[in-house]
Amino acid sequence: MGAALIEAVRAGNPEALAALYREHGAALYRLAHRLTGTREEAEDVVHDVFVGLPEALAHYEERGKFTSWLKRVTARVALIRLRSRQRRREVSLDGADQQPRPPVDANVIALEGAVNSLPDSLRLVIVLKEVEGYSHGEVAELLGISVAASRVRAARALARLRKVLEDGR
Amino acid sequence: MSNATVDAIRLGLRSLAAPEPQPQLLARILESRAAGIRVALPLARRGYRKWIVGALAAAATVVLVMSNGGRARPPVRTGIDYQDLAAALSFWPQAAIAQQLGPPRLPRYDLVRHLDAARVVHAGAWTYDICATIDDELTKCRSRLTIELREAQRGQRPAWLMIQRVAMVRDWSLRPDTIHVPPDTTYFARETLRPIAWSIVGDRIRVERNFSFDSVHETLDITGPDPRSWRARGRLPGAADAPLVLRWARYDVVPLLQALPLAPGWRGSVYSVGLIGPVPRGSPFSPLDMRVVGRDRIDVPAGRFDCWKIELRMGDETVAMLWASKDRGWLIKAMQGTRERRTESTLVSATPPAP
Repeated sequence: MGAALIEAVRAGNPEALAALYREHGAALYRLAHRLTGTREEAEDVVHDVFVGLPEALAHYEERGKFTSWLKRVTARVALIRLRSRQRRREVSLDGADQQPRPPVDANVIALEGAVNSLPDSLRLVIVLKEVEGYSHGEVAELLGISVAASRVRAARALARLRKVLEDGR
Repeated sequence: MSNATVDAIRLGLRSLAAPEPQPQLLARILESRAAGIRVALPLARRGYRKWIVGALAAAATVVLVMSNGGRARPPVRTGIDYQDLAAALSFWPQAAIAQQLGPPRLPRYDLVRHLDAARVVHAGAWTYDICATIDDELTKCRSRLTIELREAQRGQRPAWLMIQRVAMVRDWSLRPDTIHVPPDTTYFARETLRPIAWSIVGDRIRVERNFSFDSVHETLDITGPDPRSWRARGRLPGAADAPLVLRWARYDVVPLLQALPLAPGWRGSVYSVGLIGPVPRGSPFSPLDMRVVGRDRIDVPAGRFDCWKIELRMGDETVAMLWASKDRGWLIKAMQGTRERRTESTLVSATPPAP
């Protein structure tokens, strides 16, 4: 990521923001979708992240990878929305997720179903750790839990996934 | 669990597909920025580790720039429907626009009376940004309220005319647009700040209330595919010279704050008037109890102000905290809600400017 582009976004240049979106938008959307579970909320998350990015970049110190920083911010926004949704006890009516999709392996469909059946406390840890590749330390910081709790939840999630997949055979 | 099984699951997890965003998402983002929406992003977690506590104390405050200096704006809606109007009326909690069921509540403090509002209230215009914050972490600002107060005449009587205008950007649609809620207009008696007439008139909604010294007459007409109307009349509580607050007019306390003798320990109640119809058994009148709970020096986009902090209660519920400037009684900031979801209004500008 070029420092010039970041500086242009920070200055409020819409073309620069669009360029940044083209580079990172899809990956951030996928992360948000995995965390929130719905297209609608994932789009709202990415919308809020990019709308807030020019001002947020004032706090970006250019230490570490920009992509990692952006993903952490996106994950936090997604988690806030998720908590808010849980409090409202909303049920997704997101018809877009029912759209036809290319044929995939039956095992993949089974695994997706198993992941979605996990409680959020386990699903979030396993998605962040195994799908997004965060360390337990990073997962702990994002979710506000201890590193030990992150390890325990990941192990429980894997055990549950294994059981669900075996029971489904 | 065998290592091979775990490895297979991990491998499967990494290959899980996720959908792509809709192509319109980028346009929606750019249009939201152009329309003035600002979002303060959560950049660090709050309070979970000692070493980040200090950093988290610097919560971001965001300024909504609705006047965008000649940039192209998204489409402006003029066809306001009832839902849009209701969505914009966010200052008071639901209980405040509903009727109060059960026996009428009594004021907690002495009723405010004998205001010399004609002497101490001053005309002006105040503009506020309205921002919502979730979990103290994510703040979104997309509404702007302007209140104009000027001297007027109503039925040969000297009056204050207060007009409230709300512009709200709808960023949840694929093409963000700006809703201008129909202006909320109130005439108050110049001396007592007792309402004389109040109205909201939009394309498909017309609500009016007319006040005599002891009663209020209300009419509401909604046109369109689901037309509704009601006519109602109610007898006003309290003394005939006591100020009243209209519950559906969110910032009616703005002129009242200028006239109240705010000081440490001050407390007082005024009756608020909710909708009269159509629920026949509810009481539309409920006391609004106010108490000075402290003083604060606060910074808002309009500047730095020394303020009285005032608690607003309705029954057992604290409905809002207000900050009123010590020198003029201007409403500088209002906050309602819980830590989980909080709405804050802050003064952006004032005319005439702050002394």
